[in-house]
Amino acid sequence: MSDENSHATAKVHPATREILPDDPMQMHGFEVPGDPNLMLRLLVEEYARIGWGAEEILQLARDPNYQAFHGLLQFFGEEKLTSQIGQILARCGVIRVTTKETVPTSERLVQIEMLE
Amino acid sequence: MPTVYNWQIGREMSYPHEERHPQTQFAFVFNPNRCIGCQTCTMACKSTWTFSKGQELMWWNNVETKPYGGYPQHWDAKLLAMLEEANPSGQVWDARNKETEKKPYGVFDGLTIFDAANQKPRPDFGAQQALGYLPTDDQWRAPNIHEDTATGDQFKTKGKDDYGGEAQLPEHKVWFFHLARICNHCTYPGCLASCPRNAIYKRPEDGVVLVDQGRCRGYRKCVEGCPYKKAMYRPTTRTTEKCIGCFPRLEGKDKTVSPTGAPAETRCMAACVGKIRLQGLLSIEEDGTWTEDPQNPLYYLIRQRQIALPLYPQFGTEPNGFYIPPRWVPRSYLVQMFGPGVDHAIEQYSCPDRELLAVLQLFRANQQIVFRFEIEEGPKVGEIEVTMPDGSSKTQELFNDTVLGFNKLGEEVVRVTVEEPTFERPADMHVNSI
Repeated sequence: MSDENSHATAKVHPATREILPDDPMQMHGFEVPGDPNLMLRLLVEEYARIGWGAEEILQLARDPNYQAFHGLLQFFGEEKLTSQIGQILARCGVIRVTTKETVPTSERLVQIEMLE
Repeated sequence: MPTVYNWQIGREMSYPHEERHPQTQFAFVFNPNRCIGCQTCTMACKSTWTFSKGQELMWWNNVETKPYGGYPQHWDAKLLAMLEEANPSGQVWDARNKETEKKPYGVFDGLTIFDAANQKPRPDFGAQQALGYLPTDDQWRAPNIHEDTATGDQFKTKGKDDYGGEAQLPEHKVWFFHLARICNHCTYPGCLASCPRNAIYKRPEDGVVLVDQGRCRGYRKCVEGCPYKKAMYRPTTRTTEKCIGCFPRLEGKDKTVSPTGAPAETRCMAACVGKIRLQGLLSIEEDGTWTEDPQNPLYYLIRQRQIALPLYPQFGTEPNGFYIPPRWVPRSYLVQMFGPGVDHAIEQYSCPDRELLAVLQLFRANQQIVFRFEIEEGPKVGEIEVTMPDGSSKTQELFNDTVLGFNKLGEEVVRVTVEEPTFERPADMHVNSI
């Protein structure tokens, strides 16, 4: 290795770089108390109001991209969460609705004929 | 400075312009209780209006995760702190002093952003019509960064899905919620008040706040003065741009959605997969009061039932975006964010009666704006148990009611019927049942 390279600054990936106090991207927060059990009950009731059953709600919880519910799965564990969701749904039920939209009759929509 | 009446804070306040009101007002109700933060609305807006050069960091619609999230970062915490500094311990509500029409939430005794700029000018900020600040580029640059990972390093444990570390934040008890935000098309916009060129105006036909690109010189006073930080600077044109309320759709010019020319919902509303959004146009009297119209779903939810509340009404801009407060979040946080109407709103929403339940079905039921609803009553179909704000349970009755939605032309565009609820019995319960 040449002398020039030995003086180079080691590359550090931004993900692992130490956050400095004056870093504008650093967030400052403090813990605010909350009740995960209440949150779970209310969220399950909410999704039940739009017609979701246990399996659909669990799918949402398993997906790490949906952090609110995924956080609950991490907090309770999948087995307990599944059991809790079942118990909540057994009480609150799943509200079903049927929706009938009036189909717009646009004059601009025309069938394109197949090309020969 | 002239004075105007702001019903959301229940009193008159100073504002740089004389009071004038549009014939109808663009308004919306969002329901964070059921928002999953999928960002479909964000992308619908982005792919329609802000996909060009210079608009890379511009998100007219964004969804942020509270309490930590914000776009730009810390926008609300920063302004709340500035107001507190301007009026220490004085930013309080008198919720006892209520009147249904003129002051439904009571009276805000503190300083609005206009009062604060008027009473306590800050020489270090230059001349201001509305108290505000200019976010740094860094605060605009990374919407949503770290805000969802506050509870740990779950992304890292996924192995291949290493998203690059987590925030160094305390592990709170997962009470956060997703807050979808667009321009509130305020009655007394902070951006409009701040513009030294009078380049910002409210359309008289629908109250949508627009920037006249021909007049704008890019001073960014509007960016500073909008408390919600929804006016954004575009470096390539050196002008400000902001949400235009998809006004061609409001005008009924999208013929595939509204062939008869009736107003249609904006792109972000129409794209919502979680059905958290309901948008409307409200009839406004000359003096700014809302025309009494209890069959309009927005009027019904906001003024009649008061279950949807303005976002930070204490800022004083009379925003026309309203939110049904998320029920599990600590009450003090919600009161700070939505004002003292929170208790009533949550109580009503937790166990909706048959009329309210029917109207709630209109959220994202159709792309055309619903101007009027009717309810056809049906027989009782069941009872369910719901959780009240204090954690207790209450029985809610369900009816086979149908809500009908009509567009501006009086044409029926949608009907939604509440059916008999279904109950899923988990395997570990009722083991001896058939």
